[in-house]
Amino acid sequence: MIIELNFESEVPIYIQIRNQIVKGIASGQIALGYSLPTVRQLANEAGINPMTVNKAYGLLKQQGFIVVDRRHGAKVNAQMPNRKTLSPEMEGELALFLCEAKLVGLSEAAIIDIVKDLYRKLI
Amino acid sequence: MLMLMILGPTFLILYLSFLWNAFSLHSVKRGFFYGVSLTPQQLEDPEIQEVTGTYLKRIKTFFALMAPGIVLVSWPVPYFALTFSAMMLYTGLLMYYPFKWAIRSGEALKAIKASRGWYQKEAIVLRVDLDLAQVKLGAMPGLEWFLLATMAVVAPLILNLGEPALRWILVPSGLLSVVCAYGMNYALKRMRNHVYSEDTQINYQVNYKRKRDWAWLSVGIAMLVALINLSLLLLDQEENNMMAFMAILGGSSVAIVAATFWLERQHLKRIRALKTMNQESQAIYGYAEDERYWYGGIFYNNPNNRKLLVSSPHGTSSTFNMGTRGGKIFFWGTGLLVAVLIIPLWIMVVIDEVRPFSLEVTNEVISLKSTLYRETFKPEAIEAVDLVPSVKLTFKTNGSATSRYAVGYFRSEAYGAVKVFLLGDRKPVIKITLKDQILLVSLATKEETLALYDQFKKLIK
Repeated sequence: MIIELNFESEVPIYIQIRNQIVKGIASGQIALGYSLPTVRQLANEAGINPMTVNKAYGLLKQQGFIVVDRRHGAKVNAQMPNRKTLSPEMEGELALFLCEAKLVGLSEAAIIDIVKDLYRKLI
Repeated sequence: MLMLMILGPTFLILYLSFLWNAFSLHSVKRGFFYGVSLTPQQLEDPEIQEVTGTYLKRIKTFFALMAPGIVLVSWPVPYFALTFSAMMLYTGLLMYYPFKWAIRSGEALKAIKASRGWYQKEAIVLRVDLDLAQVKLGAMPGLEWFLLATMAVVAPLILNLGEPALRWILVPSGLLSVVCAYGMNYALKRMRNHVYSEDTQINYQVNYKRKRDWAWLSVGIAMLVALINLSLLLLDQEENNMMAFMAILGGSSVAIVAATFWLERQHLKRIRALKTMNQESQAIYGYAEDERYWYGGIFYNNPNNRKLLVSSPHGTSSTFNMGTRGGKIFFWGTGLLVAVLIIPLWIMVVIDEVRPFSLEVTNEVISLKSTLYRETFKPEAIEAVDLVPSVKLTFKTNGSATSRYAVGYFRSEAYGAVKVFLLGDRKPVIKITLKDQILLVSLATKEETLALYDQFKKLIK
């Protein structure tokens, strides 16, 4: 799995790392239980501060997508948090997305179609 | 003639490599000119055409003028210092002018691009492979281990030669090369970190394989060096092993060169294949932002880029980022290494030419000294002194020789291993038999040699 970091983007690097790992897991490009590079390895590889990687891994761990083991480093969680509900943050983001979609003139059906298409494409 | 046969092909290869390098910097196919990217539309700009046209014209004229130099430099002349100086001058010219014109042209193109507003801010996207980030290159043996192994094999031989000057030059330079190799290996370990390049993951993969291959090749070379040294030791005992020694030396040299070419060919094939794959995958590539840090497509100096090695826009090679501490150390270290090794060697060659050796004969001691070889002994140590009409040297074990003089360790047809201090036409030659070796001495003229022989005869009476 190759992740792309855009240094000119307004999205912070740690969010970019977090987002791409989440996309990778969801699309199956990163297998469950996969050993991620250590904080130092990934920081060295990308030429970024280890604290940035640490922050991304911390976020992923907090959300239950990865587990961090002292002996084996970071691994993709073999048992994903199967909550079947959206977290309050995700719900907030979805609400904002729906508002923006309505403002650009998308109907409920059109939004559902787009979501379906994207779901099939990404996952 | 032998010099022409050795130096001729060497300088032809050197000439062709610089020629290829100079023309590869002007790459219409890749759209890169001295490190600056240009689109076909931009290439039609009259000012751009003037710069590229001038570069091509200069390069063509320069290399046409330098071509006869291959023969001139290699032509056998009686003065080796002259040949050596010509070699240095020729190499210097081949390096200086093409580099200078490439840098100037590159800078001119950058200025034109900036004035036309052709530099658009592009996103700099780094692609990181999560699998390759976990590859531990540091675990691979590097060149320094090969050199250390070679030193372990060669150093005892050097130390046993009994020439203090040689010890002081060869042993420290050997150790220095180990340190340099360590630096190179460190650089290779850091290579995987280079940024701003479409080739990032390609280099990871290829260099990992390359390093493993080189490690095996290193072991092979170390074994061959040991074999050569063993044959050298055998040669001292057996007179007729010359052909075997030459066969081992020649065969192993050919094997090393062939293995090197074969390995590199495999690596380059892999790089090309991966690059094609990368291009087909429509990778995002932010070069335009980076090209301001390239000088002539040869040197790279970007203090904001933490990467030590970066991929060259021309071809498949990498170069050091002089904006980093490691890059600075490598660049100036190489310069220092050349200065430390070449300049003293040059001075030594000139001294040898002017005065191949000095001779001091007193009642207490006889001393023969050259820059690298010396022999001091008391008259009592002489077992016999003879005057021989001439001497034929068959093989140079460790010495220097031109048509004007010969100094050092040689093998002669009549006396086997000898140490010689010879000047002039070597007719006649004084043969001095010491307890453990035979010395052959002759001076510039026959009269001087005969006078010296008389002096020796009086001393041993």
